[in-house]
Amino acid sequence: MPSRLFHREWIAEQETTRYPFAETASLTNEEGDMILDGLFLDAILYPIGAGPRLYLAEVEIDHQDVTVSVGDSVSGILASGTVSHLSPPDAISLTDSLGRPAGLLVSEASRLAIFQSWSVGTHTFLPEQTEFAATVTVPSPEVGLRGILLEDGSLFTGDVWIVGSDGIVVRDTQVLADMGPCQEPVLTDVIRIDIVGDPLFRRRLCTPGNIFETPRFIRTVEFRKGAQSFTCTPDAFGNMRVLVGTHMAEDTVLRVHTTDRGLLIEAVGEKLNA
Amino acid sequence: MRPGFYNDNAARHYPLVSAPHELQTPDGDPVLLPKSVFVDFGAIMGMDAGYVAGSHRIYLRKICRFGDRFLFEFRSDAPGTFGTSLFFSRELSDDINQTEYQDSQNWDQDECSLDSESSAQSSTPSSSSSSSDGCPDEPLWSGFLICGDLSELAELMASGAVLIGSDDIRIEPALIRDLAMGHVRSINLANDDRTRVDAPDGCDEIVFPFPTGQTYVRARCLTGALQLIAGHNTVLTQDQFDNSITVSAEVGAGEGEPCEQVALFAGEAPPDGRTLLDGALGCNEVLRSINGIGGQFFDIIGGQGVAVTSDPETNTVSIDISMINLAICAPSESSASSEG
Repeated sequence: MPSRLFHREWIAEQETTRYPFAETASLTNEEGDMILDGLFLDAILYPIGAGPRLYLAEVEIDHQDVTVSVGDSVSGILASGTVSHLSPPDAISLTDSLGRPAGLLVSEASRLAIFQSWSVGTHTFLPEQTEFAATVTVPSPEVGLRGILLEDGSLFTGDVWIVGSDGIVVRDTQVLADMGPCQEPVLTDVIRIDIVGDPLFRRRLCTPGNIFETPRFIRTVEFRKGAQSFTCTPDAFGNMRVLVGTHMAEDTVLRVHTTDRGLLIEAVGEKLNA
Repeated sequence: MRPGFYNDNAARHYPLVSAPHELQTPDGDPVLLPKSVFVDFGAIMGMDAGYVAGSHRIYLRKICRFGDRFLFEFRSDAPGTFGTSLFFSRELSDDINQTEYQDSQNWDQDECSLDSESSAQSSTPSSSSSSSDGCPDEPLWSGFLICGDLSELAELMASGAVLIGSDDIRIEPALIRDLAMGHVRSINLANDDRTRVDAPDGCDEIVFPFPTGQTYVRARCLTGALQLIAGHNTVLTQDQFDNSITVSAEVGAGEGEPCEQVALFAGEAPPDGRTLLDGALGCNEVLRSINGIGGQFFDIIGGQGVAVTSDPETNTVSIDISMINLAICAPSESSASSEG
């Protein structure tokens, strides 16, 4: 097959072209920084939420590392990757600001070493200067729930667990969701959050030091008089009342007073020595 | 026919990284892989594949031939894909440049496993993530393969032959897309255990009818359109500007204060002899005050004509209305004991 004589290997074929940049890319910015043909041999770019026309937005050089950033004309920088320009790898792995994989710039260590000759600082490019070829960009629209982000910057993706703790209970249920006028309500999965507290929190706080001693509560009081006895339980508020009865005599001398810390039970009458 | 991308690739190593690709027979004899066998390839690494672009690779593990059928196995060194492969099957008579899509499969589904792999097959993980926990199956990784003309390969392999590859015969890294951290696949709900009572010293143990001290799963694999609703004492605030939901507590908010305890999981029940889920005593089960006076310590003071004595051994307080020192003497006796 004579045609095979003209087929160069994929990488070899690309290294003398602008690929993975678009053919229209000038690869030179206004400061004269030039991305040489063959610096990058291939690429795959899939930053989440990227718009059209991904481009190499920025190359930041410091004394040890080079950070390459990719962006689009709408959102600016979307993803970046940092490698050592003193001992560069064969590819630059890109992640977005949340640490999500966003693609790969394929090169070779010897090619990436060219950044050693760039001056320290930030070298910016415009979309028309370093636009990537459409074939290396994979659209990844930011639809659906892409992640749950906490205030501290933690991102949760995949199978996310929401765990209720310390008096918070989470549960699933279903409700009939109102779908609007003239629409039948639809059963919808619902996550319900209840903040009900942990009544025994003091026990929990003291558990690590094992310093909590389970109290022995008084649950009933048994009253006895001679052979008679009866048991009293507290009312709905945990209260019990001790009163002076009038069963035997309405003019009883017995008195029950409350004090700051309890009861004073006494009889009234004339003292013997009075 | 005009030369196209596949025609170009049929004459070069692509989609494999350019290098002489030497496979081996089981006897160790080298066999050079014809360039025309593969013309394109692509793979998507799932969320659980553990793939890191630039660090991990996909490589040709082996080629088997059964009659006119060829089986191509690709593996990855991404840790989450261990035990799984992409198996592609092509007939010699298939059209050139025919595309085949496959999801990862376990090694135990390999039709031409090597002896050295039989032990590993017995412990292979699931080829799909989350399949054992009730969630919908999702392949660990997937891919497509487009083969070119297989006649050259057929000349090298008789029926039943096996050619063993290696991780040096790897796919171009730009043909692999990583879906890690790409989206929320499911929401799962669970609750940590509540603080539960234990028995006071010397009392019978409080036994709950289920294991305690655990995190109880409430729901698995919730997907689709989910709603968040505020339950007891809960305020949910949605900010469309920064796309955030804030959960905060406020007494009486949401569904108001609860009238009864909220179960952590379906079937949570109090221990024997108790009415509350945490095993504690309810407000009406503990003497907290007498005549409205409460506190950690409660004084019972015998005043004029009354003597109060106690017997800790029998948990008894005796109140003797003796009328002593009073002009009127009407002896009477009453005692009270408490049960803890």
